[in-house]
Amino acid sequence: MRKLTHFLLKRSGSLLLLAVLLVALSQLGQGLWIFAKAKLAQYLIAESWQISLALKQPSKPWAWADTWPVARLQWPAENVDLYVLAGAHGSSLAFGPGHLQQTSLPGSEQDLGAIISGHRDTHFKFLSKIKPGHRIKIQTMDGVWHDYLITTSRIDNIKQQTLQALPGLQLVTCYPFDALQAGGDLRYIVRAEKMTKLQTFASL
Amino acid sequence: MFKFNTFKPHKIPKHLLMQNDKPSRPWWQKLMLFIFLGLVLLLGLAIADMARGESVDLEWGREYPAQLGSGTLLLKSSRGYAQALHLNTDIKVKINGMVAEVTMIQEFKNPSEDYLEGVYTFPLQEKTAVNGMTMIIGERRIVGKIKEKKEAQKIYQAAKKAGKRAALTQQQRPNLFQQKVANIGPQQSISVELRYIQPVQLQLANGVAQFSLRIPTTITPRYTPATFSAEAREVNVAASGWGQGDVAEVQAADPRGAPLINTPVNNVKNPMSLAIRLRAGLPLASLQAPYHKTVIDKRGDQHELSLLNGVDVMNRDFELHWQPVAEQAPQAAFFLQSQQQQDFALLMVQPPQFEDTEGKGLQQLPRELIFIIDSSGSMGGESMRQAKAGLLRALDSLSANDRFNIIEFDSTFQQLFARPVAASEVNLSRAQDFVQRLVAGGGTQMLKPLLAALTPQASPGYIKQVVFITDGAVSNEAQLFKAIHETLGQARLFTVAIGSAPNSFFMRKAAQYGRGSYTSITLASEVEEKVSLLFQRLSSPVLSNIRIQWPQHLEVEAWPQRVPDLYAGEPLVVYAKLSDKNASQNLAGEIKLEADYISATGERQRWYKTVVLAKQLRSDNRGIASLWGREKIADLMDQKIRGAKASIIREQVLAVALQQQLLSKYTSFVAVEEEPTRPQAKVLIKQQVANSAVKGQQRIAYPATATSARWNLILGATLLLLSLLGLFLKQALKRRYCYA
Repeated sequence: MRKLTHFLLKRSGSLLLLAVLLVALSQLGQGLWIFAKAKLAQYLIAESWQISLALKQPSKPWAWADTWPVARLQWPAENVDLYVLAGAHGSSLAFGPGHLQQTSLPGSEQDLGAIISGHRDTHFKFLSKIKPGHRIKIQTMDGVWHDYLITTSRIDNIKQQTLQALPGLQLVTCYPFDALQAGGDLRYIVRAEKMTKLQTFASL
Repeated sequence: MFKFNTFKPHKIPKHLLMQNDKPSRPWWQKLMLFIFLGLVLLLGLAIADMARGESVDLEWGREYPAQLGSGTLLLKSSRGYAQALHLNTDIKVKINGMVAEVTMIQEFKNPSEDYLEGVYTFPLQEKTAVNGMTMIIGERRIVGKIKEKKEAQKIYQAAKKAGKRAALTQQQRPNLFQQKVANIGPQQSISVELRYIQPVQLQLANGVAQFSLRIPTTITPRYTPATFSAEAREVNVAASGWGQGDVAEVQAADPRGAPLINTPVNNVKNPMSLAIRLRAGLPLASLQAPYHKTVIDKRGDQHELSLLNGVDVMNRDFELHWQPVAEQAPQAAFFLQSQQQQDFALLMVQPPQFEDTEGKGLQQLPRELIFIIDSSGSMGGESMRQAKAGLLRALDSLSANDRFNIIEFDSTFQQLFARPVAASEVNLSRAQDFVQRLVAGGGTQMLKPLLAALTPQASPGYIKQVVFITDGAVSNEAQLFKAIHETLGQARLFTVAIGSAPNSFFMRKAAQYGRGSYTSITLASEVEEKVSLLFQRLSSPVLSNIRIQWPQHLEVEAWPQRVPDLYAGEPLVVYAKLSDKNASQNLAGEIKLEADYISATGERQRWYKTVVLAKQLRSDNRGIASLWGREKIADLMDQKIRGAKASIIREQVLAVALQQQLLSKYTSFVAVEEEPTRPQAKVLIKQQVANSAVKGQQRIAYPATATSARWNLILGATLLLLSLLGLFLKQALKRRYCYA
């Protein structure tokens, strides 16, 4: 026992260093793991989306998944290509942007307004670059691509405003984009309206 | 001899060594250095990345300016942002017996430097008779005139254009109204005083008479089905031969299927002050306002009630209940108002009370109960919990002889069982599972589930009863009433309204067309009581085919023309215009009532009651003429839904409304100031006053959309730096010790 105390006292500097080192590595690991999950999961989801398209029914990307792809979102101008998952809970947002299930799906017959949310530092980072007039595309499970035109953006304070389904599509992410910590009160919301076939044709 | 190869440096004390040795670093130190450099690179990248992130340009197309946290609502207009109109509502209620006279003042305050037009959509109870409007500017009162709707709109538009202050009150639905106020100057305010009469509701619950008055304050945003317009036109053309029907209603709806009413906003807290003076005319056993905090004073034979802190938020219906002491419970009432050589009367008669203890006197025929439960988005939150609790309680109340089924709907619908099944334990537990798993979301497509419940024939030997649990947040009411009317057959439809601000017009009328009755659940704690009341009604004999014989010497115009079936606890209420054929002003006589019901043993029975009118009746009651007019209008509008020709109905409604000075679908109040106030050079900005979000309604939660990744990386990199720095420091110290 005395030996041990002696050892600890003598080596306290090294041990402290070791502890700091371990914490540092675990933090780095966590951070990298988040990015890796966000990136890698999309490859697995891509496969299940192809199955969904073929079978016209939801298909889980891995057996124990509690979510599945419901749409594919592309911003061709910036090579953004994402698979949107069902539900906007933490366990789906880790792997892809999530569709808020209380709202209708993009491209559904009655446009009650779709809302899709994504992490500001992974999938929805591109929202910081998007501007009115830009065009995005969404593919639904029936294989049809729908064109959306970005119209406006706004910043909501979740303590003061209410999130509402509005006609068209809303993409929601956290704001500011460069904040270090998660859990802020601000959300950046980009609105897009569905282009009619004629509009799409005219813009080609 | 000195042997070079025997020279062993480690045997010589370090400080005596002359040569500069370069000890090779251990492998792990090399690795550390490598990681460290990598991390510095990563940190650099992260910082560069952050710098890029900062360059987001937020100047374009913002819907809200960045003044978050200031608490004022700013609205965007063509000229930029304007501070929103403030709205204060003051309600004064005088209740005499079964009639409430209400004065409601809406004050529109303009805090901005612009000229504003305020538009405010507000609810009133569906039986309300609005009979007066006055625009108040400072000390001046400009009395509004009742006009045909189109004409009133023209007058208002002209005044608005000319820069004159003007107010227009219109009816959008029987329980939904719109106030417009034009040319509110900078930093000025305009008040609009509305006067209306509202009948007091009476019902017997467990043998105790309960009076109640409900004052709605905000609106659950209603859902307009996208396919509505096409369907509605078809229905109308087929039924009446004319394509007009409800076209106005169709046009009112937003073509994109957005809510008809501007969506309530979370942070709007329209304050409301309220004062009630109650003259019940009977000694009271209890008086309470269950959904608000209030102060009650008793002064002589009247009670005075006001809100606890003077004001409250307009986010839920206000309701007042009072119960007379048991032995004083009224069996009948006859209130009279003399107006311009005419007498108007309110007749109330309590139906018989059938034994309801130990099931004696109750209907024994087996029932087929179809529950329809609304799981649309507007039900989210407290409403869905209450609806589920109500339905689960109802399932518990089923008896073994009953059959049942559950239909759940939002944008689509699904039935639990393909056809009604026996209320066996297995089936009930499946039903409970089904109910537990319901989640609110999606639109409110009511027509198909209603038809699915009403259309199939009941199993032979069973009575079919449909229980419809919803908040009624729809705007295609007329279409639904028509569908209920046309498919009802032998079935009966009972509605259960859920939530803090249900569309009670829809709920009450749907029950009327469904020949059933209406119940409302506002608080979770009421579920038990209200569901048992509903089941009491479902299983008690119904008074049908009610006939009223008025005294022979009177000429009577009574509304409603066909008295609806009465369920247990529901009183008969009829409004009549009376005149003596001999012009002798003598109303004394007997009113005889007759009705049929099926007794517990299945026999057809007859019920009689006679109300004797005294010679000297007080005739100074107020508001009864207005209520008579309102009832007549409501009855005429019902006839239209049942297929009467719209143009004829319109003429008849116009006649009553103009004569009785009542707001209706075809008449509006308009008040205009003579002198213009807005200089022609100034623009007028239109603003919609937002309604408060309904209490307890779930909003879509903002998702959490940030990861801790960046924080993890930076923290990790910093700590790593720190530890490596420590390591190097330690090494350096060691070396210095070596050389010293």
